[in-house]
Amino acid sequence: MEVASVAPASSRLRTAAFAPIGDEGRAELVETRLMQAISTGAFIEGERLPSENELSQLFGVAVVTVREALGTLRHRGLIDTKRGRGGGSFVRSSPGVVEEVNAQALLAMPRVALADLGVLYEVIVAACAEYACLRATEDELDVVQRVLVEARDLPAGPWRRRITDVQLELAALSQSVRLTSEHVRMQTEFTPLLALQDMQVEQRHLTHDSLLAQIEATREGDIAKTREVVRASVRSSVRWLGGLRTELLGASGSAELRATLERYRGQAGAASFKGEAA
Amino acid sequence: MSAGQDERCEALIAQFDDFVDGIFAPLEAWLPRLQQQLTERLALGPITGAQLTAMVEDEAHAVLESTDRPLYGAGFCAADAVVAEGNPLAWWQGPDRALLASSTFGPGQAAIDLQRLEWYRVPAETHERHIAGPFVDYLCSNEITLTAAIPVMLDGQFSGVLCADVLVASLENLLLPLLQTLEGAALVNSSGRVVVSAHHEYETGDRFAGGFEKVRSGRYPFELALPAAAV
Repeated sequence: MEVASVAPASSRLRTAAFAPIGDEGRAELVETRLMQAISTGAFIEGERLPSENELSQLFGVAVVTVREALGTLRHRGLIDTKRGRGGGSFVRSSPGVVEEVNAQALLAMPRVALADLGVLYEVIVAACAEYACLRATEDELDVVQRVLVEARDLPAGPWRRRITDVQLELAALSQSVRLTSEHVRMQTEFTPLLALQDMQVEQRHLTHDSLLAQIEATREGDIAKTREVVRASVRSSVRWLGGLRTELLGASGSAELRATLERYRGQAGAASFKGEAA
Repeated sequence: MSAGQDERCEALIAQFDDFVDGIFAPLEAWLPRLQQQLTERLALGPITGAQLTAMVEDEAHAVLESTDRPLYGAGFCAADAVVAEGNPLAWWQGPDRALLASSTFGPGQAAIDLQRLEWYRVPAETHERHIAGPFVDYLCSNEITLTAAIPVMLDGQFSGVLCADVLVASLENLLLPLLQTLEGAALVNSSGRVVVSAHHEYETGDRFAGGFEKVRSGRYPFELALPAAAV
């Protein structure tokens, strides 16, 4: 019996070890990484990317490979390239471009995969939160809370970047390198989708409030409460994304997709919109 | 506490103090030279990240080469007033002595919020030297790290910090042999966070609850925690 329970596990490990590595070219890999950086908000609209030379050094690929990847991103309308002094590649500032890319990613993700991503994200964040309850100091929590509170009314782009910082910082308070690394991995994957919520100021405030509640519960060292706050927040985000996905599925073509996103944006309360414009 | 135990506690604290002295020493030696360089250069106005990197590189590498401590990284992190544009971090880390990539922190603007980071915030506020950690350095080394930091003052103005990083793993190699002779002892920082532990219930990163006898380091805000029963 023992043998039977061991065998599937070891064959699962072998399958993982010999899984296809994939034949994506290097330029595609660079493109994917840059896409990720833009869609997670690590670079926001109007911001300059590192130079071709710096990117080539950072990625360890030839400049011509970087150039090819940048060319594709330009073609997809994600970046603009300016020549001369002060030039370089800039994340395109026409609003909604990044959002549309993220919406396409949501569309391409089956509901079952979205739900499963949510489960893993929730578990990693909750595990970090549990250890932070045991290990974080008041001072450390004060710093994170201050960053969060000061970010509350920022515009969507910079706000999301701050929120990512806050989430990473909270994860690092677990004092576990491995948990924090897992968190970074999950966050890189999930943030482009989570950021779709940012078009509604109510959703931003929900995220803000649950992070605040998470910090409070961590301060109290209340593991059960902290985990519950994390769980409720992730599930509510996944539910919201599921709803958006259903609507986007009904849209045919990118014009209708844009119209659906526009409508979602319009569903935010008029009062909060005034606040946001200010 | 038995006389033998007493002695071992003192020996261990001395071992730790001496280790930390050795981390600060090359930074202290570098400080006046950096102050002079910065003062001369800043008379012409703020500098860019690239200029800062060029100015600091040789000295930072010299620190990493010269010291007999297992330093993981060293460098200078400039305050806003010093570096007007680009990467404020002129800091090299790891076996390859790699420059911390500016893009990690977002180009053009300091996406990195220095005030958030203990090794910057505390010297900036107190104008005193400080040892931050242990903490998960997820921005840089991605290891549990201690960072020693000296504030760099120019004309009474806080202008940045000179820093050196040590991985807790390398400090552990040094302290554990003696620490293990003290049943259930652990070296903790001023918030009770374990740096290195010989206690079966506590690991690095955990926080010590009450009920422990503590022996303070005379020079640094760290102490040796010993179970009350063993005292």
